[in-house]
Amino acid sequence: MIFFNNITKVFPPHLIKKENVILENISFKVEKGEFVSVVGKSGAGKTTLFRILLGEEKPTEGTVFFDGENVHEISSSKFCKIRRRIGTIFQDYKLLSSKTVYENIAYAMEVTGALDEEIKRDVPEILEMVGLELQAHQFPHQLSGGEQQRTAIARALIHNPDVILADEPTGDLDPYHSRDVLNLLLRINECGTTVLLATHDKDCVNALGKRVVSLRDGKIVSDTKEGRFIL
Amino acid sequence: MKEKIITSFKRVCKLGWRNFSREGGLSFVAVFVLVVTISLTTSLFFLQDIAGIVMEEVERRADITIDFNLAVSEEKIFELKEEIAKEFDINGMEYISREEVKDDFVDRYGDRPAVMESLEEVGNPFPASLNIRADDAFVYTQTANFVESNYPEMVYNIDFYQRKDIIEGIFSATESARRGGIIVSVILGLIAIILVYNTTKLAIYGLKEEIRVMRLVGSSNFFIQGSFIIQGLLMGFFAALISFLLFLFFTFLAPQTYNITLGIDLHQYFLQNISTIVLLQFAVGIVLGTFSSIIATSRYLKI
Repeated sequence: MIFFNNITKVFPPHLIKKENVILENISFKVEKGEFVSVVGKSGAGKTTLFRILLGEEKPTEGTVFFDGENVHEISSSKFCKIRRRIGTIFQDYKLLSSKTVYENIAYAMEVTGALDEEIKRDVPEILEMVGLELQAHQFPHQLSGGEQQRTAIARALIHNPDVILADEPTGDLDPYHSRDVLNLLLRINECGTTVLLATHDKDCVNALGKRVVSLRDGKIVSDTKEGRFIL
Repeated sequence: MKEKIITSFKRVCKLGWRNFSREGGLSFVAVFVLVVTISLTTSLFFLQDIAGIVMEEVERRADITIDFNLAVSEEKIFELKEEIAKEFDINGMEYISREEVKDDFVDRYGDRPAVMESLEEVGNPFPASLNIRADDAFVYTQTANFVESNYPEMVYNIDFYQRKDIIEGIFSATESARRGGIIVSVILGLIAIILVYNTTKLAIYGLKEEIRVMRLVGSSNFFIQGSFIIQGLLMGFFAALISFLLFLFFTFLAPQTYNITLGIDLHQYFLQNISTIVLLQFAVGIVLGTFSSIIATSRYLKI
């Protein structure tokens, strides 16, 4: 379903004084329905890899395929359709600050052209699922870090995407809520959704017992099924 | 398909309204700048028209008068009047007979017995005259030269030669004012557009991250740009409405300008031209608000 083919990403010297190789010859495939954890220390290149898949960054070399299509060669209108098939949970939540919790979640459905009745039915359901019914009409700045994270998760899940990209989804959460989020991702995966999880949380990864791709200094150092956090 | 398009359009409008109503400070600044721009444009419209009327009035008040020798008969003066009317591009001519001048004199100085006694002694010393008005200072020169060279025996005095510099000065000044007005309008118009564009750009720059998130959750350009266009349109609409009310209010409160605008009642002028002014204000507001949004958002839609 997703194929990172020999991806190299180098940030040009004028931005950071000297040339910085973030990713080097990264190649791996993710099959439909798989749960893959991409692990590595901070700065290992996990977020950059996700940004390349989302089209926010272009690779210096290599190609990324989503369902057989090179994501950097397709038109803008087709790309937004691919993005609608991916639910993204960002490390820094990226909620729309001028919209309430309800509206942030509904927005992801509105852009896909979902019917008003579907929105009215599904949004309260997912709010209940992530425990944010009471915060539905609050704005992001009125929420705690954990509540913002759960809003971001709800927004990523609301339109039943084919793939979930979760970039450090437990970063700001206490162990209790972290476990909840991981269980939620596992449940989603069991329903057939492909999950890519970027994390440096050792306990989480070891508890999952799923495929682990380990990055160090922009290179893949291991790729094991039912792997463990080895860095 | 049609239903989907209608739903998308409704959502875009709703999002635009929400952006406008929730971003109070931003909307206030943008509407304020638009009000300034629209008011500036409306003032230029007023000025162009009023300046035109004022300049016409100034030019109308510039004229020449030919005074005739006392012996010249009325018939000869009327013949000359007809000839001048045929030869030159004259706006208007008025014959003032000797009796009329005398009556006017008596009206003015009738209460001074010494003056009246003197007048009684000399009879009627006032010459008949012909007052001529034209649109062009050059016509005055031509007419004065024509009369003086062809009928020197009829002419007692032509006051054009005493006022020649002033008359030519008035015509040249009004012409410069017309040209200057157009240049100032164009410059002010450009400044207004740059001002509005930069305010909107600044406002949307603050929303750069929001636009990025919208793109990443799968929004199409139509969906994102559409909501900002509606927001810009609403800003323009409200700015035009405020400007309209401001002008209505200020022209209503401005009877004091009656004298300096040579008798033009600004409130009446505003009401007489209300449809043009409303059209101008709403067109400027909506076009500026919308196009500024399009240009400013286009930059951030390439993510």
